[in-house]
Amino acid sequence: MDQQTLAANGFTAAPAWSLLLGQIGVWCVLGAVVLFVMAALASGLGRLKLGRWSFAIGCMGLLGAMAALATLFLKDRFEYEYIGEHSWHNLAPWYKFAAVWAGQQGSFLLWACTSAVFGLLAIWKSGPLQRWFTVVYSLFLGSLAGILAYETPFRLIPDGLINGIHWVPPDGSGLNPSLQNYWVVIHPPTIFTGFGSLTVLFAFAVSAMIGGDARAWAARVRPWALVSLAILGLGLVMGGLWAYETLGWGGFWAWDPVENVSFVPWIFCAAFIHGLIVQTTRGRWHGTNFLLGGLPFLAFVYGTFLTRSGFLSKFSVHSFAEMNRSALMILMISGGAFLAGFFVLWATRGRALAEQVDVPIKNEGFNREKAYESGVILLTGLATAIAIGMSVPFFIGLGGGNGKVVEEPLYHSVVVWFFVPIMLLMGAGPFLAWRRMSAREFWNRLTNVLAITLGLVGILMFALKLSDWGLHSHALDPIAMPFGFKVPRVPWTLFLAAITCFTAVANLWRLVELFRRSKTGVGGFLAHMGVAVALGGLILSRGLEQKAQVLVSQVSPGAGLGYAISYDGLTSNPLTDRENKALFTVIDGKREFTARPGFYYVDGQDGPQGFTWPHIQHWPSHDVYLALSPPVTSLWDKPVQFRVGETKATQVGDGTSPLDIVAVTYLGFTRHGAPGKAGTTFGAKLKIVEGGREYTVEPQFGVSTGAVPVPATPNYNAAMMGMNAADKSVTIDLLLVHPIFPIEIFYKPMVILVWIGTGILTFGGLLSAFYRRNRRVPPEAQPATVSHVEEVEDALVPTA
Amino acid sequence: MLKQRGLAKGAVLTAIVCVLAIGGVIYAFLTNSSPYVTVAQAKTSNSERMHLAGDIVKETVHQDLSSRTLVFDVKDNTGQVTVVYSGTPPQNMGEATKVVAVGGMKDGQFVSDQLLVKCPSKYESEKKS
Repeated sequence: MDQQTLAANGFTAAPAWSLLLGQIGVWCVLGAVVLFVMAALASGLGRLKLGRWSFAIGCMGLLGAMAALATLFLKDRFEYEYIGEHSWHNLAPWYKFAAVWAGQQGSFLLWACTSAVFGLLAIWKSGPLQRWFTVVYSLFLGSLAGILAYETPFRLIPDGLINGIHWVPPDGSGLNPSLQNYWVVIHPPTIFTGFGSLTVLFAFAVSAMIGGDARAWAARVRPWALVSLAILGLGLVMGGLWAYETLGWGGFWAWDPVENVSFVPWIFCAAFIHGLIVQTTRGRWHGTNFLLGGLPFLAFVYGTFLTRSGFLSKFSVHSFAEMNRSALMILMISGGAFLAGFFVLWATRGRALAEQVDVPIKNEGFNREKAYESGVILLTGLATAIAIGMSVPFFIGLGGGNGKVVEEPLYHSVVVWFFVPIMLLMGAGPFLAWRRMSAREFWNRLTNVLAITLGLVGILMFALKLSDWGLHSHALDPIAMPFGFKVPRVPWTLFLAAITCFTAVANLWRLVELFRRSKTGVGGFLAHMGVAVALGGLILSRGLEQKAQVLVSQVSPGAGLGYAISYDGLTSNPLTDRENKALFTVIDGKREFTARPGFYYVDGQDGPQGFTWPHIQHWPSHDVYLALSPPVTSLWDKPVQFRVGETKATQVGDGTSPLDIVAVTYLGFTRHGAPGKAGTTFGAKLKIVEGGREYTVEPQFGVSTGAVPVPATPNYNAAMMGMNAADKSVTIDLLLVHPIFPIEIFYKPMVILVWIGTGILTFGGLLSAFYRRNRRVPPEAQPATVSHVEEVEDALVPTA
Repeated sequence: MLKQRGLAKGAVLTAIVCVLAIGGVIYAFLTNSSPYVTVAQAKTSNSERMHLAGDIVKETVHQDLSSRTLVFDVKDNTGQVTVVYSGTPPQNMGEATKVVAVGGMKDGQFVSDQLLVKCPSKYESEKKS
């Protein structure tokens, strides 16, 4: 295209400042690579101050690149390929900002930036570990910056440079409507902040091993580990709520690779924190903790490779872009080096260090340390199992196989083997002492909790009997378990719920028991209780879930799961308004509510495309979840072509009666006005038979007005969509007078527990971090000597 | 000496248990995961849960409201088969060109109760190479 054509099509020349800002972004990234290499070299050679400052300026470079990209997004600079693909001029400012991380390049930049922020915070607190901490952290951020140098969001559109002018397309293609939701503004930054914080744990573990510090690093890393666990956990929960509230399939968690990639590091992180408790109170597990400190980060790097490399694109609903070859090489080489280097270092140095300081076991038999040990093994096993699950498609694909996919029920049947013992330990653990306990003593402590649990489960079963929870149809639906046996659904769901109930009650009991004596354990008990309550909610709402499909139109209300649903119209016109809601009245005999699912059209490649948001009605005992699909608006899937005299019959209803046929006959072509003159219209004479009655209509097609639908029969309007003057054939559409909305309605009991549990968990986590902050050991102080801790009967209750 | 042997025994036992557990998990995942198949493979398989991936043949898409099914042909380089999907169509079905149908063959048709739609819409523009 020449310049005139470009200008006529709305293309403009890119302003100098925009090109300059993009260049600055590119140089920020390249400068960061150089600075991180310098920081690693300087620190490795012992020039700590130089290393520290190059590191800090390198981090600023990454943040600068982020600021440049965000500015370009907010200013609609569509000459950049990445911005053109993810934004358009009419997007609300906060979505333009959120679009920064809507694609692959931007999410790598976000990861680099959150990592950099944590690096900046932690490097000043790294004390004697600073030398190798800086080296490790710089190598990682340098690799990320290297990836960004190839996988850059600052690439100008190809072929945009003509005669020395960068041409800017008039508009971008916009942000995917399913991402235009407030969750996309808060969820990705939160979860990436969690991912970024994992680098701190890894860098501490490596630098402690190199620096020969098996003991003191525990106190240093512990607050960071708690922060990681809390933020990552918050991000995970947000992801689940996002899925539930917007995606319309009625669930929180689908075991998709992308979800697993964030879940596995979280479990490793939880195992690490429990390992640290044993190390600081018992003087043991130094070697294990080196390993556990590195695993969350390594698991995430591995997961990033799996999901971002494009290898999994065949096996997931998420669309993954293929990564730039050079960037992928950097990711694979540096990731592989980190992984191999870490394990070699651990095997050769970490374990030897640990053996020097590990205190031998004093108490034999089953005690609290054994409980922690079993818990950490189970958590590690759970994380490993999920990691294997998400790797299966990849490894089969590598082996040249056609690929297989691991589905939700399969994950459930594997995960449950870890879930049940972990929950039991979480409940029973707090009742164990560090010293050896007799079985009878332990049993005596637990009796009350077991009694309360049994009582609560009894009430739950009674409630099940009274209400209509889960008892309609699928009560004894078998659920497949590994090794070929099956269990009925409702008893199985109740069993799992009973176990979470036990864990929640046990932690609450212990909390009340110890509250007077010490408040430091409160955070932990609350967090465990929150996890149990939230999982109980997930189990009950999924296990006893019911769903039905209903068709509703203005004239024919639908019914499903005992709910009568009628359509009341739309809140706004035109239908392209994102705030438009479809209104439905839902009655279940006693109660009535108005459901307001979102529904609007956007322009797609093949004409308008409908988008919907589900409606969720919350009650204390259950949620009613309505997932709306875009309405069916015409009799046929697309307009149908007729030759003169042709008849086409379409079956409606179940086809048992001859009245269930709609037949259309094209009788002839008409013209009003002289051919070629403005205002001329054409018509098609149609005979339509519906419900045994005959109707004759003549829909018109105007050169200037286009198709004008006319009422034809009680249920249909007829429209002439096009014609072929040569053979006088026409294209006809029969539009429904009352569009039919397909609705999927879900009944999900006890979803409220998910919210309550999340609240308790967050509160407990914050409380934990607060108490840790108060009790933080000064950097120079060694942890309490082990002989002192030996005297403490219960580590959660320090002697006053 | 005795103490050390006890430790070694414990370590060996732990290692065996770990290997067994990991082996069990891998076995469970591998044997129970549902395979991705081509059209030709689907036609000859009697599995009830396969993932059939292919291109939607646009002209064949037909939604039958009375039986609440969506009927369309899927084709790949090994052949073409009719998919009968019961349930609500996925949101972006209209724009989709590729689909993954989960289900099994029944009377020469691929009967599916789950559709995964890949949507190379204008929002996720395919990389032009």
